[in-house]
Amino acid sequence: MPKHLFASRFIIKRSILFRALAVGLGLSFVSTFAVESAIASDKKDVRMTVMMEYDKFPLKMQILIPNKEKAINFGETAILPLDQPFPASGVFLDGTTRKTGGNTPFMMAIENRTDATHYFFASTHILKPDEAGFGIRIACLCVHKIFSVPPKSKWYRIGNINLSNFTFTDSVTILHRLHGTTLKEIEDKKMQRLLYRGVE
Amino acid sequence: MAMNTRTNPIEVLLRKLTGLCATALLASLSLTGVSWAQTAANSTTTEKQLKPVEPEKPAMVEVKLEWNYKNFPLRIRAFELSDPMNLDLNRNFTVPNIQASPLTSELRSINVRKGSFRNFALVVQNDSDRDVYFYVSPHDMNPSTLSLGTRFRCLCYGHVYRAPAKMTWYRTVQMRAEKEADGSKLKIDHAVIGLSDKELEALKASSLKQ
Repeated sequence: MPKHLFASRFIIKRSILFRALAVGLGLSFVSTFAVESAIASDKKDVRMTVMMEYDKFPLKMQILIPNKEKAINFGETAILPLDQPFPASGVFLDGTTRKTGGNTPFMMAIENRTDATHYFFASTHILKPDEAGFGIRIACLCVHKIFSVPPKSKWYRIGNINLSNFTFTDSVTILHRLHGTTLKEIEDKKMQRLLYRGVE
Repeated sequence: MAMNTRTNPIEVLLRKLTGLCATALLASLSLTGVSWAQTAANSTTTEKQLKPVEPEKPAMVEVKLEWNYKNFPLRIRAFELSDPMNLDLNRNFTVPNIQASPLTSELRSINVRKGSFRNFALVVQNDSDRDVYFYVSPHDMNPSTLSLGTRFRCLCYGHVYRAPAKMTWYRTVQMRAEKEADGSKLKIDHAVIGLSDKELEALKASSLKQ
C-alpha cells in the first residue's frame, strides 16, 4: 500500500475515533445531568418542629438557629454569662422547612436568671407522625445524662436534624420531655455518675 | 497403800491449769454479762440515734414491649436466645423456622438486673407467601423518667427491614439498666410501619439513584 494512502486511512480512522469519543462524552454528560436533575427534582420539603414538654422544670428552652459564621459542632454544650448573647442567628420557628438530603443544626438554649442551679434531663425523643421514623435522624440532648444550668447564666447545646434523601413524610415534630431534678434528689438517688461532665 | 496416796506431779499441774482456765472463763462471762447489761441500759438512747432505714431500690427493671402496628400484617415477639452472651449484637438473621435457630422460648416481659444488661431477640415469623418490608419509629418509654438509666438498643434506627416469605427473621438486641435506674417497671412503645408496594417502589427507585 502506498504510504500516503495508509496515512489517509489512519487519519480517517482517527477522526472516527475522536468523533465517537466526543459523542460518548456528550452523551455521558447529558445522562449525568439528567440523573442529577431527576434526583434534585426528587428532593422535597420537610417541615420541622421541635417541641419541649416540661416536668418539674421551671426554666424554658428556646430553639434557635446556630450562627453559621461560627464553626458548628454537633453536641457542643456550653455555659455563658447572662450578658453574653447566644451564638445564634435567629429563632428556629415551628414548621421551618428544609429540603431532604442534608443536616439542619439547631440550638437548645436556656436562660437561668434565678439564683439557683437547675438540673434537668431529657427523655428519649418521640417523632410524630410515626412515619418520620424512617429517613430522619436526630442528635439532641437525650443522652442519658443530667445537665445543669448554673445561676445567672445561659446554657446551650447544639443538636442536628439529618434528613436522608428519601422520607415517607413531609413533616416531622420532634418532642422531648424535660424532667427537672435537684442536687438533693441526685445525691439521695446516688445519681452523681449521670451528671454531664463532657462531650456526649 | 503408800503408792495409792502419792500424787502424780503432772496430774497436779493439769488440775491447776484446769482451775485457771475455769476462772478465766467465769471472768470473761461476767464481763460479757456486764456489757450486755450496759447495752440493755443504753438501748433506749441507741434507738433514738438510729436513722430510719430507707427501702432499697428494687434490684430489677421489668420491661414490657408494646407494638403498635400500621399496615403490618405480622407480629413482633421477643425471644430468649440459647447463648445470649455470645452473639453479634444488632444484627439481622433469617432462619427457616424457630426450631432450627438459637431462639428458645418467648419472653412476655424482659427482666433486667440493675447495673447489668440482657441480650435477646426480636422475632418476626412470616408464614405468608410474600416478603414483608417494615420500619420502626423511635420508641416511647413510660414512665419517661426511666429514660435516664435505661437503654434499649433495638430496631428503631431508621432502617427498612425485610422479613422474607416463609421464613423467620430475627434481630439481636440489648436492654441495659444502669444501677441508677429509678423505677422497677418500664413500658416501651414502638410504632411498626409496613411498606406498601408503592412505597417500596418509591424507596427502591430513590436508593438506586443514590
